[in-house]
Amino acid sequence: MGAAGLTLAACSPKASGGGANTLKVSSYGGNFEEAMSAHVYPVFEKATGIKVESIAQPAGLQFLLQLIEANKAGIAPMDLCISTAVDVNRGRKANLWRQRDPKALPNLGNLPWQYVLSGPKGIDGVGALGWFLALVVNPDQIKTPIDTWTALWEPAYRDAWGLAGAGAGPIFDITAKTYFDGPATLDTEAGILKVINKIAELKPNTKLWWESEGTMQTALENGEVKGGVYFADVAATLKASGTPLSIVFPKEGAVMDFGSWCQPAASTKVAEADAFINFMCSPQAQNLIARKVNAPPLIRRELLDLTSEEFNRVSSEIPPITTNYEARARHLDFMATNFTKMISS
Amino acid sequence: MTDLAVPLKTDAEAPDRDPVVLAGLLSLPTLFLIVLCLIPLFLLVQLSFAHREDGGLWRAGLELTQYRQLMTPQFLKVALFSFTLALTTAVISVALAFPVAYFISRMKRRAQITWLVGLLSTLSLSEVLIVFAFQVLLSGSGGLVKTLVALGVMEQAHSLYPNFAAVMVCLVYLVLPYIILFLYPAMSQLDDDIPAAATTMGASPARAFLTVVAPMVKGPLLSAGLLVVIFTVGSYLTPLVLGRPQQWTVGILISNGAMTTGNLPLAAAQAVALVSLMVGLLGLVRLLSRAGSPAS
Repeated sequence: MGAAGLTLAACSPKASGGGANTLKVSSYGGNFEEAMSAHVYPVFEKATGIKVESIAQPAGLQFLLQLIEANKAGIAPMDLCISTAVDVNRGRKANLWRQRDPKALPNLGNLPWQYVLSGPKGIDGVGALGWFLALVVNPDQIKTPIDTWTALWEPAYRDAWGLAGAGAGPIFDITAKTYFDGPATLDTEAGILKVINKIAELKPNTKLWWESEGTMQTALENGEVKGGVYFADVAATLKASGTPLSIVFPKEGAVMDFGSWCQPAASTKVAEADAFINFMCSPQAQNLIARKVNAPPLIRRELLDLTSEEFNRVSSEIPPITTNYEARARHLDFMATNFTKMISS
Repeated sequence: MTDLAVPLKTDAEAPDRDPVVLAGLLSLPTLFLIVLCLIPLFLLVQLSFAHREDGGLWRAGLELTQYRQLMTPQFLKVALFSFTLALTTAVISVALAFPVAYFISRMKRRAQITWLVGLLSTLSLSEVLIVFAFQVLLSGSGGLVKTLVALGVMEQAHSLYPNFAAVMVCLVYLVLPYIILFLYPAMSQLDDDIPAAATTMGASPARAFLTVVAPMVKGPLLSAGLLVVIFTVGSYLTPLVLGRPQQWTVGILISNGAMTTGNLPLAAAQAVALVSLMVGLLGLVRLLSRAGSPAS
C-alpha cells in the first residue's frame, strides 16, 4: 500500500505545492468533474482569485486507501476531495482529514445539520452535493405505472430486477422505510436482521445482484433486467442516450446520498480550502450545481432561486429516504455478512 | 508438480556449470521472487491478523478473529464451491483439450502452425472482454438465443444466464487454449509406433487411444488439470457476471470484503485460506502421484 500511495502522488507531481493561490480539487471523474470545472469552479475563481486545478477522482475504497497512505507519507495529492459519509468516517479513524473551523465558514448554516460531518475532534466533512438512488423501470417491459418501492416485492415481477449485491446498499434503507420504522430500524442488530429477512423475499424477483455500476448499466441497456434500484443521474444519462427507462421517485421517497468536501491533513492550504468550501455552500454555487451539474443541491430549498421545474429536474418534493450512516459506522460487517449469507443461500 | 511435467523424452544431463555463474544467473530471479512474491505474501499474512474496526478500516494487531470467522458454514460452503467449480472446469477442459491437442499434433506441419497461432491469438483477448462478450452472447436478445428460437429448440426467447452452466462454459472457454498449448508438446513427443503396435495386436484405434496413449500421457494430463484448478479456483469476474450469488466464489467474497466493506483483514484471511487450501491440494496430488508411480 505504501507503493500505492506513491503511485497516487506520482500522478500529481505538484502535490500540495502548485503556487500560493491555487487549490487542487478532486471530484468524481466523468460528467460530474467536467461540469464542475466548466461551470462552477470558474465562478469561484472569479470571486476569490484562487485558481482551481480540477482532478478526476475514482469512486471506491481503493482511492481512500491510497490517499491514506499518501497522507501518511506527508503527501497530499489534492487539497480537497469528495468523499461519501462512510469514507469520511473511515478516513477519520485513520487520521486522514484536517478539521475545519466553523468560524471560517459563514455559509455552513445554509446546510441542514445532517450534511455537516464531524468526529470527536471537530468538523471534517462538509456536504458538497447529493445524488439519488431511484427506482428505474424499462417501460417497454413493464407497462404498469409504478409509484412505490413495494413493487419490487410483487410476485408479478419475477426475475425482473437488478439490485446492488455487495456490502450494505440502499436496499437496506428502502426496506426499512417501506416496511418498518424507517432507517432507524437499522440501529440495532435485531432490526437489521428483520430488514434482511424482508430483503430475502426479493430473491425470486432479482435477476442481477450487481457489484459494479457498469454491470447494471449493461443489463439495463440490453434489457436483461426490467429495472431496479439505480443512480438517478446515471439513469438519466442512459435515457438521454436512448435506453428505454423511466426514473421513478417512489412515494416513500428516493434514497438520497451525498458527497462531502474533505481536506487531507497533509494539505496545508487551509484558508484557500475554507474559501472554496464556503463558496460551495452558497446559494450561488448550489444553484449552479442544480442547473449545470444536474445534481440535487444540499442547502435548504428556500435559499435557492430554482424554479419548481428546475428543482424537480434534479430532485423531488417528496422527502427523500436518508441513508443511515450511523448504522454503517457501527454495524457494517454485521450488515454485509448477513446480507451476503442471505443472497448466496 | 515438476515431476509431473517432465517431458516424455529428456535430453542428456546438462554439464555441470560453474557455481559462481549459476549463482549470478539465479540471483536476479530470486530477488524478483522475494520482492514481488514473498514480501507481498508476508504483508497479506500480517494483514490477516490485524484488528478490524467495524465501519472503519483496521489497525495493526495480532489476533485470530478473522480466521475464526472462516470457520463458519457460510465461508466453508463458498470455499467448497470454489474448488468444485475449479475441479469441474479442470475435468471438462482437459477432456476437451486432450483429443484436440493429440489431433493437432498429428496434423501436417502447416495445419499445426495455423491451429497453434489461432489458439495463441485467442489468448490476447482480455478476460474482461470475453466475460462481457459471453454476457451479450447468452442474453435474451443475443444471436445465440435468437438462433435457438428460430430453430425451434427454444420456445420463447430468454437469457441463458445467470446460472452455473453459463459460468462453467465461460471458464472452460477461458482455460481451453492454455491447456491445449500445454498438452501439445507432450502429444508431439508421443511415439506413433506404440499405438500402431497396439492396433497391430488387435486393439481398435479408440481402444488403443484410451488404453495405450492415455496412460502414457497421464502425467501431463494431471499437470494440465492442476493448472486449470490453480487458474480457476480464484476466479472472480466470470462467476460475478454470469452467475447468481449461489455461484459466488471465494474470489468474490474477498473482493466484497476488501473493496466494499473495507474489511481487509477478513479478505486477507480468506485469501490466505485459499492459498493454503491450494498448497494442500498440490501436496496431496504430489503424494498421490508418487505413490502411484514409484518409478518417478
